[in-house]
Amino acid sequence: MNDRFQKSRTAIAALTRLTLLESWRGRSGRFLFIALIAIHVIASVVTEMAVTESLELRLTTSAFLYRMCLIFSLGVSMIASVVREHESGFVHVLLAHPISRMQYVLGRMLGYSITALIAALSVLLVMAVWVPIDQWSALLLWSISLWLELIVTGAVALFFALGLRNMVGSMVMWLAFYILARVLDVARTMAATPIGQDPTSFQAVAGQWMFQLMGWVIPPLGTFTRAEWLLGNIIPTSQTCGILALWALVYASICVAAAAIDFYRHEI
Amino acid sequence: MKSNFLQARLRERVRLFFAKRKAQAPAPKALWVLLVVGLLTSVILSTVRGKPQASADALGWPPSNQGARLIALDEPVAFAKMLNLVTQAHDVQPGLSLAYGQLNYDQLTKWLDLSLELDPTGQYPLMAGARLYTQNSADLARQRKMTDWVAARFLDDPERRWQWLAHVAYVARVQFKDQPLAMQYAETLRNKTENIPSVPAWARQLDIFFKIESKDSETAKFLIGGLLHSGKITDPNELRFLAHTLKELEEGKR
Repeated sequence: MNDRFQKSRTAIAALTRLTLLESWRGRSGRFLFIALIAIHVIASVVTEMAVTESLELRLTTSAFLYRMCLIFSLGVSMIASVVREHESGFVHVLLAHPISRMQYVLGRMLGYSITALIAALSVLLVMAVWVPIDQWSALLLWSISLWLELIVTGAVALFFALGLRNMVGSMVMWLAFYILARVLDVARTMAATPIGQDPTSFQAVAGQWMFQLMGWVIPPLGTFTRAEWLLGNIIPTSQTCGILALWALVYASICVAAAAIDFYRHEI
Repeated sequence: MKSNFLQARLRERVRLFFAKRKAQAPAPKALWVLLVVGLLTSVILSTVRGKPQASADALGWPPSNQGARLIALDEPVAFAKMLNLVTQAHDVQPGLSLAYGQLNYDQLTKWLDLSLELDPTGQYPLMAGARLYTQNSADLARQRKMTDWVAARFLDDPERRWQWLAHVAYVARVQFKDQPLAMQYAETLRNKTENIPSVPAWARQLDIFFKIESKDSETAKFLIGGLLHSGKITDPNELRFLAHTLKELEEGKR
């Protein structure tokens, strides 16, 4: 592996390849295959119990489970591999080569993004079997959204893993981020009109500002990858899709930059 | 002494955190630029997207009790507490375009029912039903549906829920100006809480005061007299107050 690594054309490409290899050898491919089948079976069992709307039930159940499964498995694998590299000292070996820390971060992120793309494409292919042809555009939108969501959560996982270099701490922080990002819109709405509180009181105003601030810097992941898109009833406008896509990429860039800056400052 | 020790420990931790992050190699300036530009873009995108709005058209029907327990991994009380917030976040937006009149109160009461089923001691759904969903931004039929719902749920646990029936009795009297309905709620309150000492006297005697206020002094006298002779009132001040009220009624002063 080291030979192949040294023969690679650029450091980033080599690290990207290393990440992909690590994913493959870490049995990610097999895991993905098993997950696809397991969720398919679960959705089929659930669908069998339905009296009506069986297709809708199958689509939304599968969409929800695929989304959760990929986000958690890829996020956890990102944290585990980065922390393991630090604990085993492999990162020292890597940095002993002519590789900058920025290249390390970029290589990791690109490798992860390709893994996420493969996973999202696999889900797209499986879901295409069930989604009616006239809803395939919605399925494509859903899959792109899933990929973007995976990129955001992966970048955040990288940031916490590099910053904390501790498995439990990174997982907890990453999970807290994900839950917060998923409920952010609801929390902002509630903070904007507090019930049973004087809206001009310090707590109410502080709460509004805190959630406003979070709303500025955290993408609302609750509006990404919605299962109902696959039913063709509620499709977001193209403007909303554009904003969310751009936001996801910008946010991933922010996390990558922050992770790299922290990594530069970190004692190895 | 202990707080000084904790402060010192905390200071040491913070010092160590930053000491470990002494620049090993300076981060390229481009990274800082990327970070700042990214954050600014994020703020712009958030502003362009606008503030999230509550939607009135997607409340739908709640899951069954068993379904909710399944979703909550059999943690019903915690789930019920979250459910209250989710229901509230959906529609408690008096300042926005979402009037309660846009809500489906049949669905809403089912959500409140689910919360009560999961957490029977919870007061939140009853508070929301009595105070929030009876506001004037809902039409009278919806408000009435909600007061009836509160009255029906009161019967399940009068000891814990009496205050919400008392509240809707006042809503019926002051807001709906529906004297018979207010009396009906107040009488239910008295009948079901007569033998519950934890319920304050004013709540148990609400129908009497409604009668007095509506100049139905004969019935009021009958009720107060019955109460005084029942032996259920033991507090001397309360006895004195009721006797004084009865005297005033008999003298035609009220």
